[in-house]
Amino acid sequence: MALRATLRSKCGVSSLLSRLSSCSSHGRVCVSPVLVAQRRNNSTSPKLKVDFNQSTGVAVMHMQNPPVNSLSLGFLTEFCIAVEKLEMDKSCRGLILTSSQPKVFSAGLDIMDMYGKSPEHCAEFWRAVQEMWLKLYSSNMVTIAAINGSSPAGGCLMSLTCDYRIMADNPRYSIGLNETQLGIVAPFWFKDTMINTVGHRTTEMALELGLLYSSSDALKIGLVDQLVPEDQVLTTATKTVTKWLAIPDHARQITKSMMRKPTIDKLTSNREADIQFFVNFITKDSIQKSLGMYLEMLKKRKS
Amino acid sequence: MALRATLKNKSILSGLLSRLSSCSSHGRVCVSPVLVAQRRNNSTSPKLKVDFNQSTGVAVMHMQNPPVNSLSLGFLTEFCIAMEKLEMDKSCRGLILTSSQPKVFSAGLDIMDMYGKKLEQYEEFWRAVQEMWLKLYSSNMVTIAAINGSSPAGGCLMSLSCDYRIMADNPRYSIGFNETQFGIVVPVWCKEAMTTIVGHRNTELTLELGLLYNPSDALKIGLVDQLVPEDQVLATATKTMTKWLAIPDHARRITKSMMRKPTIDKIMSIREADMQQYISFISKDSTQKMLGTYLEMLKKKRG
Repeated sequence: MALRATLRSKCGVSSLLSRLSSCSSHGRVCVSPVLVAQRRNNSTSPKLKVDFNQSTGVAVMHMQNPPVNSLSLGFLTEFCIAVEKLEMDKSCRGLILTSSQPKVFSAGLDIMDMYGKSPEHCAEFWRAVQEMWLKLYSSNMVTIAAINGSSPAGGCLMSLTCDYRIMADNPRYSIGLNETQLGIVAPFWFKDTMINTVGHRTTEMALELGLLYSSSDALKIGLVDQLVPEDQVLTTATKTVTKWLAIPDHARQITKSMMRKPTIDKLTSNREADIQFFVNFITKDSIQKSLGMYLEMLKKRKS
Repeated sequence: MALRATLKNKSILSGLLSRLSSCSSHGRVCVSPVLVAQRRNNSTSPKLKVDFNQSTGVAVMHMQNPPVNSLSLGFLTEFCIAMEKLEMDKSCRGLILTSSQPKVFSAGLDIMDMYGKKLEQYEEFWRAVQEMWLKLYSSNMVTIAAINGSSPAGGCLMSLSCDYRIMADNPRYSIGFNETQFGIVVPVWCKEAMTTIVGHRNTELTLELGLLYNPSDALKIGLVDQLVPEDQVLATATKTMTKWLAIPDHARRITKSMMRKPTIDKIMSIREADMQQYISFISKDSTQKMLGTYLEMLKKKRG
């Protein structure tokens, strides 16, 4: 894995922060890309709503972790449990992933699980991020991302793991792996998933420049498969899953596994090292400092 | 490899059969996709016609195994012998592969070599299939597929092995890998070869959904390189060949080998495992039953 910070000096950090505070001026919904710090939702209200249609065999998973579906340890844990439950249910053949939060699919990893936390907590968190990717990417179900909002970083990753991506045709929404813009680096398995989807060249540019694509540019490069009006995203996903489910399950699943096994093996054979790498990186003083300043800036923005 | 049947009960089987019998209603030339059962051509008439032009150093191989150039053990054996002969002839620098059968390039593997045979015969057949691909894919000659008809499954594999693909611009023709629609899965080396040509994403979509593309969609994704009117396919192949042969042989061959060696090595290392998987799949009662029922249906269609 390769999460690293480049921030070594104050001026690096402040230019970073000014870039972050200006991002809402681009006319696009800017949901604090990459790292989100949301008031910790300590309530026991579920962060996911799963509607399972027994007759079609399709489950729709609505992410409802306000305000921006940040991928916190709590959310990821709930998510993995829900996916596993559906995976083990033989009558569940398809999964549509979507958001209940306006304008956002998911804004990415929750900064609060990385700031001021013990190494043990950071390790637990990163394990949960890996688990989310593994469960989704290797799922036997047909998985469709119904991307009804912006989807930077971790949100983009979630959608990339699915078999098919449908996005709302709204120029204010964006999607991409923008980690480098904040001085950090997407882990190698984010990179692998993206290469499998858009190819090496596009991934190299997208990751180095930390690009967030508008929905139409995302379609052009194949980051998403289809654009539809926002109010048709879910119905289109439902039609699409029906088409996929017409293929004999066994054949489709073996084919999917054959396609994805090499990529999955690369992480499963390196999981602990990947976690150690993340913990060593995220607990560095310089990184913690930059996360802290980022949080300060968010607080100021809110007030 | 992962050829497996999913047919576990009658209702799935009849769904499969109705899909097969209705396939000619799509307005496209449907040549019993994937599996072809042709009246066994036991005559000693050659299944290939090779025209070798000594002065240009180009051989044109016309597949003439009526009705649909199915890849039978006999055909594949003749093919491999012909390939080897041309390969060893130092004056032969280029090979154009085309079909003498109307509307079809090749309809894929011959079901008669997969049904009601002894284990040794299944092994012999699959070895011939593997050998065909290896000889084509690793050929030192410039190889051009002049695709003058539909080319599902095995036919698609043959054309993918060539350096360049020219297809007739006829919307009634199709090309792709439709195995999953019949509950079977392409071998892993098919997946590897296709990925090198159209990329991971398109391969994943094509193989999981069992897609057959019309010529213009095939061109769009890069499955074929050029579309021309049907009566110009062979002439275009000849012109293209001249262009490729203008490159100094030695440099071109080393480059081709450099490009293809990783894939070839990967396949060679799993060749025996792939063989065992095929034999255990094809000899299963459920697979044999499915093939038998399919043959019955074809007989009824003819009678």
